[in-house]
Amino acid sequence: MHPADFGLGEPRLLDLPREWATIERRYKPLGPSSPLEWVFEHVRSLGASVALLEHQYLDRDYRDEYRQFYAKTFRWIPDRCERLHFWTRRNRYLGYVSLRPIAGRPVGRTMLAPGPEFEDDVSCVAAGSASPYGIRNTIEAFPYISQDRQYGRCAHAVIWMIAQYHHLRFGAPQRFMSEIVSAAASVEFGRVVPSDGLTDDQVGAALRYLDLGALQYGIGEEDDLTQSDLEKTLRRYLNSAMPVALATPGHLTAVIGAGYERGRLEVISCDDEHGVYMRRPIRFPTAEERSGEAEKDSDVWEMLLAPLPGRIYAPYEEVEKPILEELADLAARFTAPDLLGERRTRVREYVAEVRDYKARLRSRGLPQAVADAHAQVPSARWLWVVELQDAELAKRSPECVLGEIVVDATSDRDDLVFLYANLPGTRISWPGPRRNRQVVRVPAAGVQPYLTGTALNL
Amino acid sequence: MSKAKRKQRPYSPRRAKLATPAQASGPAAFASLVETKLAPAKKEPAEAAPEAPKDTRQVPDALSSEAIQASQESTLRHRKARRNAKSRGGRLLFG
Repeated sequence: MHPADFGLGEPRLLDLPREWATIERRYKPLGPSSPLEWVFEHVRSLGASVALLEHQYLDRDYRDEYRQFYAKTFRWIPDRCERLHFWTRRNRYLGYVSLRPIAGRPVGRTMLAPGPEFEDDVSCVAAGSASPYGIRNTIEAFPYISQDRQYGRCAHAVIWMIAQYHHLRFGAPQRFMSEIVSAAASVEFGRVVPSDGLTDDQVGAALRYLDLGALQYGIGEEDDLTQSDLEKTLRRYLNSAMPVALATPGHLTAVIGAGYERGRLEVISCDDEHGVYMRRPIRFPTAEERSGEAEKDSDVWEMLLAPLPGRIYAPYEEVEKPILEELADLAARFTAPDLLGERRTRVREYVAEVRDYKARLRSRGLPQAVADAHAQVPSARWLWVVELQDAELAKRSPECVLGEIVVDATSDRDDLVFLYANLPGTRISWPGPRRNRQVVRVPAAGVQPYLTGTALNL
Repeated sequence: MSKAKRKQRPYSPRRAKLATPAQASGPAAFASLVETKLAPAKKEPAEAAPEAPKDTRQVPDALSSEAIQASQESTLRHRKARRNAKSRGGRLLFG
C-alpha cells in the first residue's frame, strides 16, 4: 500500500501467523524501518495470533506533527494513521502500534507489553488503553515513538517517551511533539525545523519546560561519576520506576529497567531507532576515553539525565549522609540488642508517590501498628524512602527489609524533614511542626523481614 | 533468557509496582488506624521505647561510620559530576 493510500480500507482481523505476509506486504512501502521490524518480531515472540487493523486512526501525536510540519510540505501525505493491535490465542492484549504514513519512519505512538523476556527487569511501565471501534483494551507498557527524522530526532522522541510515561503513570499533563520542539527552541540559535538534533542543553531546557527538570550527571570525562557511582545512581532511579535518559556520542536513549546478568548490571534501554525493549551492557568509558587520549566509541556512556517530577527538590545524594546518620542513631538507641545480630546489611533508596507508598504499606508485611502509624503522618506528594535490607536475603527474595526511614522530598538539604521510620521492635515518627521524635515500642518476635518497596530490588 | 531461569527469579516489578493491593474500604478500614497513636500513650509507659545511650554495636554494617563516610565521598563525586555536566552544556548533540 502506498503511504498516500492511508485512510482507505476497512477494519480487518488478521489470523497470525498465516497472515503475517499480508501485514508485511501492506507496510513494505513504508520500510525499511528497524523499529517496525522490531515491533513485528517482538509481538511474534509474545505469541501474537490475531491482529486488528484499525483504519483511519486519528493519532493525536501524529496529527500534531502533521499540523506543525507535514501540512506545510508539498508531498501528498495523509493526515491520519493506521493502527495495529495484537492479541494472543488466549485473548491477551499485547498492545498496539500506530503507523504513520511516512516512508522510512512509520512507527508512531506504540504501547507493547514487555513480555516474559523483559517484564522482570523493566520498572518503568504505565497502564494505557486503546479503544479501537469502541472496544476498550488495557495494556501495561513503556510508551514508545520513533523519530520522524524531520520534525523530531532521537532526543525529541526520548523526551516524548519520558513525558508520556509520566503522564500515564503519575498524572502529569500529556505533552505533544510540538511542545517539545518549541521548548527546545528556546535555546536554539539556528533553525528548528527540519531538526538537526538537540544539544544536551536543549534537552535539559525542554525537560524543564515540561516540569520534568533533570539532574544531569557527567560520566564520560575525568572527575565524573565512577562506575560504582553510576550503578548506584541507576539503581536509585530504576528502583523508583523513574526512567533516565542516556547520552552516548550522537544519540539519546531512555533507560527503563535493569537486571543482573552473570553478576553484572545490564540495563533495558528504549531506543527510538531500534525498538522498545533492548538489553544492553553498561559501557563505561575507559581511562583513555575519559582523559580524551582516545576517541570514544559510539556506545560509550557520556551523560545521564534523570528527569524528575517538579517537587522532588532534594537530590538523594545530597541528603544521603544525614539520612544514614539518623538511621544509624535510631539503630544504636532503640534496636534491642541481638535483633539485627551479625546480618550483613545494605541500603536501598527510592522515591515514591505518597499515595502509592501508603496504599502498599499494608501489603508489604510491616506490622499492622507500624503501617497504621506511618499512614497517618501527613506529607507532601513525594517521599524519599531508604530501606535497610538484609544483603543476603535481598539476593534471592524481595522479602528482605529490616527497617526503613522516610523523608519529605521537598526538604531543604540542610534541614531534612524526617517523617517516620521503623526498625525491628520500634516505630518512630516526627509529627507536627516541631518535629519532636516520637518512639514507640512494637512488640515483635524477632526480626521479620518484609517486602521491599523498590520496583526492581536491585 | 530461558524460561527455567526466569522461573528462578521470584521478583516481578509488575507485581510490586502496578498491582494495586486489595484493600478494605469504608469506615471500618480506618478503625485500627485511628486507634494507633503516634506518640507513646501516657497510660502505657511500656509503649515508650527507652532512649538508651548509643550502643554502636547495634549499628548495622551498612550504617557504620565507614559506610557513611563512603556515602559522603560519593555525594561529593555526584556533586562534581552534576557540575561537570552543567559546565560542558551544549557540547553534546543528539540526532
